[in-house]
Amino acid sequence: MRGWIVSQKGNAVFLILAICGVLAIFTGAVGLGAVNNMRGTSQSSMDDQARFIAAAGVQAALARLSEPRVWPSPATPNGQGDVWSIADYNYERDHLGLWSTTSPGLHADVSVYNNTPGAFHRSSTGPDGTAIPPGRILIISSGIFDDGRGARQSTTVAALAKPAGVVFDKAAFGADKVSILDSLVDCVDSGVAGWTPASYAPYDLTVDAVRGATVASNNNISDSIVFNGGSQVDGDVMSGPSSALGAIGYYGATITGVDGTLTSAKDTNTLIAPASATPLGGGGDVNYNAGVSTLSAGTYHISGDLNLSPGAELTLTGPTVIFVDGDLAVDGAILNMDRKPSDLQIFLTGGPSTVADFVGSQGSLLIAGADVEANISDSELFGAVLGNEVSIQNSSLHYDQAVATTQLGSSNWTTDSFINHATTRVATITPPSGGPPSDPLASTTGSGGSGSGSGTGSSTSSGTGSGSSGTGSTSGSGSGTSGTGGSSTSGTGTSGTTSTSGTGTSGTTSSSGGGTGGTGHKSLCCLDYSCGPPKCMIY
Amino acid sequence: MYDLLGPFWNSKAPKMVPRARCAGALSRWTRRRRGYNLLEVIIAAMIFSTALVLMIGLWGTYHSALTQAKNRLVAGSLARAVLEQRLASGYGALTDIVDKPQVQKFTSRSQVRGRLVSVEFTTTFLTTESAISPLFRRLVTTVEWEEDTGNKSLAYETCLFKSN
Repeated sequence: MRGWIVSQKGNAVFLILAICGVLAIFTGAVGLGAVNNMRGTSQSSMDDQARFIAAAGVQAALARLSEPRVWPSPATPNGQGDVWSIADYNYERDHLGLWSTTSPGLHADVSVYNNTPGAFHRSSTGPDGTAIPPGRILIISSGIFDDGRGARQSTTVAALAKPAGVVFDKAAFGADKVSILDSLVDCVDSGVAGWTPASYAPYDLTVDAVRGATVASNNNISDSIVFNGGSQVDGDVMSGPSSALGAIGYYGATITGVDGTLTSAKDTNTLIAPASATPLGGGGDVNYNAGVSTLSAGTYHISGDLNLSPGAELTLTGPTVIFVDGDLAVDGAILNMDRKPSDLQIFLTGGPSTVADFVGSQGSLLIAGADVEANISDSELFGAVLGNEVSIQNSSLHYDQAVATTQLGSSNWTTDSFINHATTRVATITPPSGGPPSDPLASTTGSGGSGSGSGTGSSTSSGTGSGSSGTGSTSGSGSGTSGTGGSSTSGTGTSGTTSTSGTGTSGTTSSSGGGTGGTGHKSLCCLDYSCGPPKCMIY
Repeated sequence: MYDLLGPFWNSKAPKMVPRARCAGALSRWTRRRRGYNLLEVIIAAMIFSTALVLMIGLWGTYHSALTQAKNRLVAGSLARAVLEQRLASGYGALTDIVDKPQVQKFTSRSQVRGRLVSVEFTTTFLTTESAISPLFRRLVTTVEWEEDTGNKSLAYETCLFKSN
């Protein structure tokens, strides 16, 4: 018993120590939670700051791209505008840094991958291999937060940039529909010294074809572009990406160029009148009645409609840009017929239901409006027309090739949606007998050759667009433009299986053969940028 | 003399016997046990009270850290909300407020230890023209609030370019 008693010595201490230990562990756990809580809150805050400065980096890059174009040179080694680049000749990435004014440890590191024709360092892919559509610039901005005491957080954002203005690279472009009936669409070049509309000389399209007046639409359904037997076009005809058969309805028209599909939808930016534009019409309509009126060179903003009545003639003293919030109505009038088309640019900034009517008139001008329904009838027009729906009837449209590469209306760059350039294609493939299904990407990506659907048996065939001399898009053969991309429609199998391919954004396209007996697998290939690397689901 | 602090659970504790008779045995027994339990309890009490004081202090620190984290979270949310709202409004909406701080006050109310505690947050949004381009503006949102440890602030900054 004595031993037991002796062994009880210190029991209370041990008990208390044990209790304290438990309490200490509990308190420690709670304290650790508090520390983690603080750290998480701080991390979240730093993450936000890094993200906002990364977004600021994208905006800074857009500002730099929108500057007036200055080529890299010894005096300006970094260049400026859309040819902004670093003239190191070592293909070092083009980049800029943006520092925060509120926190010295906060900055953005911006890299630019430029796939525009004027780029000093042209890059068709991003650093991870992401394809950059032609005419676009990929901006990658990393926002970095560093408090100098070991806390560091970074966030990277990417943006695709596109021109905010309008490029009149098509003679007639209707995002939704183009209709050319009993009309002529041919080419002129106002870049020739001394050129005026009066120097235009008609030519025989079948003999002296220039093939420069492209007619196009973003739409891909049947009859998106419609002609009739009385229509002549000295150029290509392009329907929207992934067009269905019959998207172009010729109905006996004469076309000197090739037909095909756009590799990506053309931009139809809605412009906004700059604040510096001179108001015309006192906030209402502007009407020009019979007689000659002269407008001084400059940039104007009309809040209402612009109307020219029969007998009215509008002349200019120099390059003039007019932003019209309302409609355009030209009836029996003459516009700028003594100067080149780029000297009169009319941008219709209104929304849907905006109308541009050009009836029984003559004009040398460029007309653009993303939502415009343009109707040209019994008229002669030098320049180009861009709208949502373009209808030309009993008229002549002489496309000015001199404006084909110039961005007008705005020289700025803005962000573009990656989704606009996403491509989803559906291909029908048949696996080899007894083996696993074929890799649809491997079988559908590539270049060279024309895609054609085999009529019998199982097959997969690769195909891409051919060059500008490519074949017309008839069933079973691929076609393309400018040697990039293209599309093809597949052939049909003997068993009647039909597959339709989509378009590729960088020279990839597919065609497929119809299998027999319907045993083929279908694969849905996602080439969406948002999907990361191309993936296919086979089902 | 009796060991009043002896182990009470011991059923075989020595009974009261005349001192002369058991003096020797008691003396040996109590010498072995004398002061142990008292000292033990005192030490234990000291340890326990010290630990308790420390832990109560830690709990206070923990509570203070939680309050700070909560305030910082609220400040971050406010800064983010104000900045996102301005960005969503677009470049044109900033024109009239260039170089004019936009101040807003928000009050956060919460129950702390059964008491209603209010913390006032002041957000200041300032947009300035940048030297980079006349179409390029800096947007800064600063949130300030007061804590027991002093005034705190948090700043979020971004830029906006007029694309069209």
